Amino acid sequence: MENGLAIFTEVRDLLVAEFELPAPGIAPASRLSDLGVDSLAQVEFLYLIEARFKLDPAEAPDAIFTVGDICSELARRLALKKTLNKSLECGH
Amino acid sequence: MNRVVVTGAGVVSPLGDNVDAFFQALIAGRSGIRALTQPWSGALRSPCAGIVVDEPDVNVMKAKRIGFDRVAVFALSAARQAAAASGLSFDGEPGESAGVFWGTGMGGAVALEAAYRELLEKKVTRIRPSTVVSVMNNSATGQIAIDLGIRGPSNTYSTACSSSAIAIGEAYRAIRHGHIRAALAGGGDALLTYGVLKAWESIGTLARIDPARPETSIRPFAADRSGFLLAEGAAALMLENQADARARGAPILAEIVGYGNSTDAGHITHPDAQGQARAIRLALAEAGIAPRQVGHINAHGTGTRVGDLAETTAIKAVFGAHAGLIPISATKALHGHLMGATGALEFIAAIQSMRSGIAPPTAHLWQPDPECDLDYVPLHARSMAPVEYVMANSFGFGGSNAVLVARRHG
Repeated sequence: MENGLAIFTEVRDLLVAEFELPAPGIAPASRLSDLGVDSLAQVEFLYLIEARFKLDPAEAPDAIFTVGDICSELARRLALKKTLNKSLECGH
Repeated sequence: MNRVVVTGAGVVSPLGDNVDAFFQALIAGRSGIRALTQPWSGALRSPCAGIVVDEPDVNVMKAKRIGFDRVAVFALSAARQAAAASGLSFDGEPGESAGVFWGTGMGGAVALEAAYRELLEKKVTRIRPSTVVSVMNNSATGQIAIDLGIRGPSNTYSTACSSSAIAIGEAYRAIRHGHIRAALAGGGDALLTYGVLKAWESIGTLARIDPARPETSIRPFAADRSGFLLAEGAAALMLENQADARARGAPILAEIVGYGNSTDAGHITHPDAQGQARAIRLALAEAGIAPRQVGHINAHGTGTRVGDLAETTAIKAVFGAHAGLIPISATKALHGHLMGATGALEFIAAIQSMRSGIAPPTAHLWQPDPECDLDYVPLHARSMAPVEYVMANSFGFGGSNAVLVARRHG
């Protein structure tokens, strides 16, 4: 899942499944507001991502404007989860 | 004082998703009571309800609909019907001088129960962020205002069974006194959840299901009545200052001329005929009419032992010798008890009765109760002499009584 394209595909598919957005209109540079995803929908979407990837709840970052921003946030949270799991495996 | 007219109406109900379908079903005596089919319905003593079979498509993109409980979908559909029928636009100044006055008993009950199931059964640590805006009682009110562009007051009334009658009454007054020029008024509820049904089952007001004819289980004013069944839906009216409506050549369905609002202040559930009679008198006084001028009543008529008796007593107390001459219809027999929507739905039924000259039947009234001895239009619809004034009664838990009087227009 570290792969950028794989993450974008996951995010795009979740936007399509949950918000019924047309897949061809979604690109990393797409602004969420242009897609009709307002601030409430954005918070809901981050919650759905947490549920999908079994991430611990975290405070939403301030600067999320595009689909790419969501992908970056997901990549960061997945990396964090991996690090945490690794440290747990090592007995820390 | 401004005169206030109804220029549009909208309905989402177990008997259809528009005013004509709803009223035709009433006249035909068709029941909207159906068996619940959810996995938990077998755990209910009375597993039937007034169900909206097809949720209306409000054509709002999913990303914008995440804060919509089922009740908001019903509300938006009914509100749009009423606004469209009136032809009123809320662009510019008209939107600022219009209001939304909306009633609901339980707000976003479906979303609330879903959230609790997640928390308590699935033990999740976080629930949907949209839960608050879906559940809050003024959610549908806000969504109607957003959708139609109504930017004056947006008020939500929650007085159990009288919620939407009070919403209409307060909207009428706000126009009458010149605070606003138009209002979208009505109410909605979508409360057919396991928890809500179990709560109503426990308090003992739900009808026993007739195993042979389950759709006939609600029997207002009958000797064999045993209560009501819950139902879901929404009903909306567009109210306008009469001068504005006339100036723009709007269709006018009726004029609202009286609203009576009282509280029993006696018991939280047990109705009080005196409190109800006071609301009826207040409505007649505001209308400036004598009791004998009322040609038809849509009763609250829930089919409970004490409720129907109290209403009969209240009508007799106010109307005296004339009481027995008024055709009184208890339409809940057919559509069930829509709680926050029921007052508005029944007011629409009353207006349609006045306009068509046909009183819907009080269905399933095969065995009259000797103590409920007024003319309840048993079993079959009936043509009436021309009706000049019509009344709709709504009496809620909490002792909240609301009575509306409308006058024929034109």
